[in-house]
Parts: sequence; structure tokens; C-alpha cells
Amino acid sequence: MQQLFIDLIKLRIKIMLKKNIIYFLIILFTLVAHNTFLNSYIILNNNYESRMNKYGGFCEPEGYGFLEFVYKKYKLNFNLEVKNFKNMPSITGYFYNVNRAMNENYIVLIGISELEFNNSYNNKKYRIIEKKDNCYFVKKNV
Amino acid sequence: MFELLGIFSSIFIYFVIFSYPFNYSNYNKIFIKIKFNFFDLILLNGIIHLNIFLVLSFFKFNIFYIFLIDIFLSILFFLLYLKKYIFFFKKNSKLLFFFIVLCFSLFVSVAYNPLLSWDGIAHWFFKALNYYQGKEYSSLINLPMNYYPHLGSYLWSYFWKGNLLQIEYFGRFFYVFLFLITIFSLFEQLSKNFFIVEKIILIFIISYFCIDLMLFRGYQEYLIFILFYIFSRFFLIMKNSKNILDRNLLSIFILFTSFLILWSKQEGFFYYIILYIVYFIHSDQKFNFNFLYTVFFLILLLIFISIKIYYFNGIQFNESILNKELLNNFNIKILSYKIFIISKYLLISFFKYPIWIVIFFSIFFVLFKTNYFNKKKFFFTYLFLIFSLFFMIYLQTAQDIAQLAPLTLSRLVFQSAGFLLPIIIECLNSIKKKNGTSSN
Repeated sequence: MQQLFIDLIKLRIKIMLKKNIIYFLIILFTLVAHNTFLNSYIILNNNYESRMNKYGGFCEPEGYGFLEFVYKKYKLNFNLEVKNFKNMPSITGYFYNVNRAMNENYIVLIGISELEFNNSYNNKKYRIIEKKDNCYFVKKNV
Repeated sequence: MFELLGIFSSIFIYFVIFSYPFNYSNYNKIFIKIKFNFFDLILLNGIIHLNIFLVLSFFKFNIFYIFLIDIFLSILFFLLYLKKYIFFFKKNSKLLFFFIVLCFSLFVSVAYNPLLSWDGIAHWFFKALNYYQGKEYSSLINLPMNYYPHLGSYLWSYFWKGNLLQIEYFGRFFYVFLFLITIFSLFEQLSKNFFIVEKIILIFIISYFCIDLMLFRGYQEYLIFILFYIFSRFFLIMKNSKNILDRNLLSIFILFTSFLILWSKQEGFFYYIILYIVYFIHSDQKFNFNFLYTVFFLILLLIFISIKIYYFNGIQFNESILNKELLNNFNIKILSYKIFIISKYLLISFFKYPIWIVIFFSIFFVLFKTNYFNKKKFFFTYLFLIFSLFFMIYLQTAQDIAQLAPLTLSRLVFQSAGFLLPIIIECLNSIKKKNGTSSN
């Protein structure tokens, strides 16, 4: 009885597939064309934070990881100004809290070259708090 | 796994929310002789919802509670008409299943790389954060580019707040959802000569030509694209309708659709005026009604200006409209150089967004093979006004247009394509009709 039931279902699926073969091919093509399988796999294997870190980079291109690291390590209760030197938008917004003030004495510099840093920030006006590769967290000496 | 489930379930959440108040069973109580398709009704509900959200955005309401009320009401409506929905779903199962597949594919494309693109993170995201973190309209003053319209960001924060996982990109799914509804609403207008498989292939091709994932990363272009389509679609229905009550009621929806454009982007101010001109010239309404439409158009504009003056000391644009650069346009050498640059990047934009190539082909085909445009000249008025606006924007700017045009012009071109989409359907229908007749 059970076998008969399974066979019946198999037969129904076969008929449905035969009748709608083009339709199912379009569905499959749509899924492939939009990279749905790969994208779903990426989402399944990497949570939101790790994807943000992966695509935003630790220090470059956008410095998402570095900014997250700074906020976590120093438990900051104010907003930071972020300057990106690699022709990328500033990612201040990702960690911005509208209920907190912006502290202009602290700056995060993303993707700054050593030359640029030495010229503009390596002086008495600024103090380095954190440095990873080409990213700096500096404080103005007030 | 939860994220993927959340993505899948949001298709249904959006679907249920935008399925009320109008649905297939009740819209005839208000619109007497108009026949909307299923997706038109979702767009109609979208206009009602978006206008309500716009009003709410000026008050300090907790958006999570608004979402709860909204979802409660929508589920109530859905259950009330459940039998009719089941009947409809069974009848259109293939099309709806394809919608779900396409929607899921695009949602996943947005979700796998959740980073925002330039304008998204630099301008629009701050406004979304403002509402998401419980602030009101007046707090926008403290944010960068505070004078940018806020509607898209409010909707972004609304749907962001409404998802259980509280992940930012869920808020951006509404652009994708409404965009797909737009495309499906368009292809529901195909004649009955088309097989379902043909319809689905065409939907895939046209949607593929319109998709730019970068624009789903925080930009507002799709919102304008959708609103342009809705305006054009309802305007066409209105022109075809002979019932005066239907025409008047649709005119109200048309006005409120253009009002939403006003609150979506800076250039929306000019689009609002262009759409008014299109309506005024081509609506075929009686003088009294056109006069009333003009009065309400001005009242809504006045409300917009008053709010902007109250909070931002006036309507601001990225640069003042009257500037020294305008005088340079009297120099024929500079003017021709500018026109060359604008034309060059216009041409590039048409290839960047191939939907424009399809639109141009459709225009030429319909123009030479049918008499469709005899009563639909408003498409040409729109084309003339919109391209004049593009030229004016770049002739007026004091910035270096060789740098500005490649970055911005293509997006303007893309968003304005929404209005012209119905021409594609007319073209396809006439091709099919011709083939059908010749084979007979």
C-alpha cells in the first residue's frame, strides 16, 4: 500500500515535470542567472557581521573591521569621524548613534598612506591611540 | 539559516502588508468600471500606505508599534478574503511562483553583500538611522545632507524595524518588492495571446535589463522609478476610462503618487512639476476638475515648501539654481562643449541601462506600425520635459560636468524610464497581434 502511494506520487511528479519542463527550466535559469545558489550558500555560511567584515574589509577598502574593533575595544559612547583616503565613502554611519554626540577630538583614518599620515597627522597636534596596517585611530591634543 | 528563512518570509510579509485595503474582491465597490490587475492593486495599496507613512514620518510615533498595527490589519484583511486569495493563487500559481522565485533571488542578491554604496552610507542611511533609533523629523537637521527628502529612508527604517532579526538590509527589500510588483503589473497587461511561459520569459528579460544591484544598496532611484511607473499606469487607465467618478478618483491617486516623488529625492521637486504639466495638458478632464487638480497641486506644493522652510529655512538643493555658471552658457564654445558632454553621457546611460534601448525600439515600432500614440501623446510631452530637465540641470551646475555627469546622469536616466514602460507592452502586443494575424 505504502509502495503504491509512493509510486503514485512519483508518477504525478513525472507528469508535472513533463508538462512544465520549460517552466521549470526558466525557474532554474532565473536562479542561476541571479547567483541565488551561491549567494544563499554565502548567507548560510557567514552571518551578517562576518559578511560585513568580509566585504567592508578590516582596514581596506572601507575599514569596517577596524572601526568595529575600535568601538568594541574602547567602548566609546560617542560618534566618531571617519576619513577614508582610498576614494571610498566614509563608513561613519554603520556605527552611528543619533542619540549620541559626535566627538571631533577623535578621528579614524582609513587607508591613509604613510606619507600622507606623516605630513598631516604625525605631529604634536595628534596622538596615535591605535594603528593597524594603514588604519589609525588618533586623538587631537587639545 | 535564520537569516535565509527571514529573507524568505519577508516576501510574504511585504505581500500581506501591501494587500490591503484594496484587493481583487472589494475594489469594484469604489472603482466602478475600471479593471485593475492583481499587481496594480498592490501598487494602489502601496500609494495609500506610502502616503500614510509620509504623514506619520512628521510625528514622533514609535515605528515598531505602527508596524504592528499595520501587520495586524493586513493579516485581518488577508484572512477576511482568504478564500478569494486561495482561488486566485490556484488560478495564477505559475506566475505567482515565478514572482516568489524572482523576489527571493533578488532579496538574496541584496543580502549576501549587505554593504551600502556611496550615497547610501553617506546620506540616506543617516536618515533611516534617525527613525530607526527613535528620533523624529526635526532631528534630521543634525544629520549630513539634512535637506535631502526623507521618504525612502523612513520606509527603509520602517521595514528594518519590522523584521524580527533587526538586520538593516531587510528594510531595503521594499525597493526590490515594489520594483518586481511594477514589472509584474506591467506584464499583466500583455494580451491573452501570450502563453504563460512567454510572459515569464519576458518578465525575466525586462527585469534583468532594469536591475542594478548597486541601486539597491541605499539609493532612492528605484523608488522614483516605481512611482513614475505608477503615475503612468494610472494615467493610462484614467484616460481609457469613461466613467467620470473613476476618472476623478484615479486623478486623486495620481496627484498623491506625484506628491510621493516630491518627498523622495531632490530632483523630485522638478518631477512633481513635470508630472503636473503632463496631467494638465493630457488628462482630458473637464476644466473645473483640472482647476481643482491645480489647486490641490499647489496646496501640496505649499505644504512641502512650508515644512522645508520651517525646518530647513527653505528648499535647498546641492547648489543654488541661480549661479554665475549660467552666464557662461552664453559663450557658444562652452555651451557646445557642455551639450556634447551631456549628450555623450546620455548615450552611455542608455547602454548602461538597456531598458532604454528596449523603450526606444518600442517607441519606433509603435510609432510607425500602430496609431497608439494618437491618443497617448503625453509620452512625448514627458520625454521632452524630462530630457530638457536633464540638460538644464547640467547646464546650470557650477561643478565640472565632465566629472559630475558620469557619476550621476545614468541614475537620472534610469529612474525616468519607469514612466515609459507601458510602451513596451503596446509594442509586444502589436507584434503578437501581427504574427497572430499573419499566421491565420
